Amino acid sequence: MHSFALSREDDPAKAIAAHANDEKLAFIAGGTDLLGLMKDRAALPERLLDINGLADLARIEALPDGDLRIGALARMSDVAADIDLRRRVPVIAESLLLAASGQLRNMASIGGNIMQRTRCAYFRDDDGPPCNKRRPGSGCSARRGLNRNHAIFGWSDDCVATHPSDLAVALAAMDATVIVRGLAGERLIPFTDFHRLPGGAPQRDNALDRGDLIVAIEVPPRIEGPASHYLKVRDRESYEFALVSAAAAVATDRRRLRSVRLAMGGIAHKPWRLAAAEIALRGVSLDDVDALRSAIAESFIDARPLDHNVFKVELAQRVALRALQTAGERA
Amino acid sequence: MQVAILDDYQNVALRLADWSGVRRHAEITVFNDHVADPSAVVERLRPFAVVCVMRERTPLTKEILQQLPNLKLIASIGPPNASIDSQTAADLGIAVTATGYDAAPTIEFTWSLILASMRGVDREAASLKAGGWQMGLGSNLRGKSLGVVGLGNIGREVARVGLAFGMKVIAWSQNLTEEKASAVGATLVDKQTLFREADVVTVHLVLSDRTRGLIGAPEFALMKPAARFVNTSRGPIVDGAALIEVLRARRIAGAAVDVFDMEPLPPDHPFRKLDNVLATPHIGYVTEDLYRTFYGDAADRIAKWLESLRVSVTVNGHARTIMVEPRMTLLDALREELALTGTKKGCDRGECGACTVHVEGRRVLSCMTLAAMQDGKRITTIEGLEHNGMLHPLQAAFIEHDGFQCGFCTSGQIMSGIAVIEEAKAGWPSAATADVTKPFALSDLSNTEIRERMSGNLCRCACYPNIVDAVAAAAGRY
Repeated sequence: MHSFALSREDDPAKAIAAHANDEKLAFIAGGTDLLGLMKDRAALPERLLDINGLADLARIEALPDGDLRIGALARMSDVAADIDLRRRVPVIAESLLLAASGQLRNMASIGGNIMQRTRCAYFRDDDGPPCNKRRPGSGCSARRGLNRNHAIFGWSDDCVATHPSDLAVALAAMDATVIVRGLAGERLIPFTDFHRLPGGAPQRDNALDRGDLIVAIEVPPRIEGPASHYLKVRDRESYEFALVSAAAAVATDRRRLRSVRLAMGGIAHKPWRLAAAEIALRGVSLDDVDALRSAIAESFIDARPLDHNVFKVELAQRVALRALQTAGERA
Repeated sequence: MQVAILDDYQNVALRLADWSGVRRHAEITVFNDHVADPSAVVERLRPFAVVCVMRERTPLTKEILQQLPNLKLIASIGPPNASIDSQTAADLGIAVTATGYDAAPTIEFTWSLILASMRGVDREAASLKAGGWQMGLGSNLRGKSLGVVGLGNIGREVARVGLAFGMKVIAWSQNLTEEKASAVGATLVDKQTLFREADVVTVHLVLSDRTRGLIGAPEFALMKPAARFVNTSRGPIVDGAALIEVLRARRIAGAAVDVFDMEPLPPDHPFRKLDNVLATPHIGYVTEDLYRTFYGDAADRIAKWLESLRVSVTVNGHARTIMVEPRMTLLDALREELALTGTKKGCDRGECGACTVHVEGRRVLSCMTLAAMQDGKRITTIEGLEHNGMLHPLQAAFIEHDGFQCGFCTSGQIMSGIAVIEEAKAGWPSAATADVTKPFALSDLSNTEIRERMSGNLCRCACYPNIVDAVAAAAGRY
């Protein structure tokens, strides 16, 4: 790794000020993504600020209003093991357990998890093929290159990468909120607005600015929460990023869907909500597979696969269906 | 942070090296004058965390070091420095670094003195400057005898140059063998013979208790009246009073000395006055080339030290403190700084699990975490599993179930496997758990569960079925 300075800050206000005033400074918590990026020279911060000592940011707690508040420094494994969370929103626990490995889940923080950068091989390649995320203006190697793992929705000619976080897909489905503290105080970012589409500035993954510190994620109580499921399909059975994944949560009236939450991973630059399908699925019986399938298809009319990922259009619909059915079994 | 550069007589330290890496973290103060009195040294150095000392100009004794609570690093210019009490420094937690060194300047300067002394260059040049002309007669080197005391790195090269001048070279030191002497082209003789026969005696010993005062009146008494004595190593090797005495009495032709009992040489010292002494102010090593090495290395080492961090950890039950650069991973610190090489470096990218250790009882990938972030943490590696000569139950199970072939991934597999059992005991579900909304118990740890939970540990020999059996067997013994 390149040479850098490391210091520790236990006062959030000072950490935020340091980050705001220093473009070469990066926060480090678990470090599992950042150190990988640094080893691949995709991130070259001159100063790292260890924020693991910030007080009260590692807690997982049920708030009086019913929200589940997950501190940004909580580790993936602690969140996945929390029995209250498992019962209220199993989709979140499952999305975490299907991600990374036992070791990495012990290290990686929740804030860092949703900040993960794409696994696009061109972006991670130290040999420096054109990549607008890595070097804005250099071009996108994946657009006409090997793009089997890439997006089928929301991409631009500047970037066809996908977001790698499983947790983010579950949080998008649950309409969670990201609590961010910056120089101007605290603000709330709806989870579906947190990640960006690439557009003409793929170097920006999310809505954060310099001096922004994620302090927590709040998951409001949703009637669909307990009947939820995360399904992940990948090239090997375990310890792999998603080809396609789905977070589904349902509320039913006997076997009929009263309301549905559906978000997918591996198909866009951000967790992809199937808004049209969610509407079309209302009132459909879980036993009417054809009707479920055609309702889900509503969200795939505008799919734009690339040269090597045409299969994802069909695969994603099947994954969404199965996730929905499994969630339905929990209702 | 404050850094002091001591005894920079020529005021060249900042010019000859790039100190920007030091300036990023610290303020530099350069002292061009020399302070000898220990209490004045303490007074001067008290504010500094880092001092850069030139060779042996300012000794850092136990007494001085104990009075410098701010001092954290001594950057010693040149090779290991006898004037620094390194044991006391270590006891006080003061780090000591040394720079590169090159003997060539001293070898060349020794010949400057021998040649100048033989030809009376100092006397003739001084006369000319004073309006005079020829003053005396010089002597040839060819055919004369060169007596080298000490055939080490410098003495050996001085001897070779003597041979090139057509001199006969004889040599002596306490441990010199005939083999070593003849390898250089010198003849091993005893001490008395050397002083009796040599036309030029030149000293190249390291100052130690064994060499202090090694040359004195008895040796000078043996020297020929036309012989010359040269010392470019260290003053205290020679009995200074005895040398002054033979020079005053003109019992030898002269002496050329660059080193003294006390440096800088006191103003009224006889060496400053005697006309048969060619004395120089310890400049044997003082060349721009070597100073660039000295100060370049010192600046580099101080900058690295300033960037490095002190980390105290408990590793396998033992408290350990190490200095690490921020970029050093825990894996590299364990292997390189603590010599715990049971933890393996496989992919170094968090993909293979070979580097798995426990931090605060939890399994982590040591290649994907920084050593400097582990301050105060409790770390267990494969070396720490054995207890009173007994293997950990999972280590024993790996042997029973043949859970390894080449062994490279095994320490990571075992560290991970132990954590898998602990995590299951703690009620943690996995991606293989049918219903995460239900509590999980150790008895639910099926082979499918173990496979999923161990998926972060790769085995190229594909011992997976046996590894799963070993973890299941060990879990059954909990």
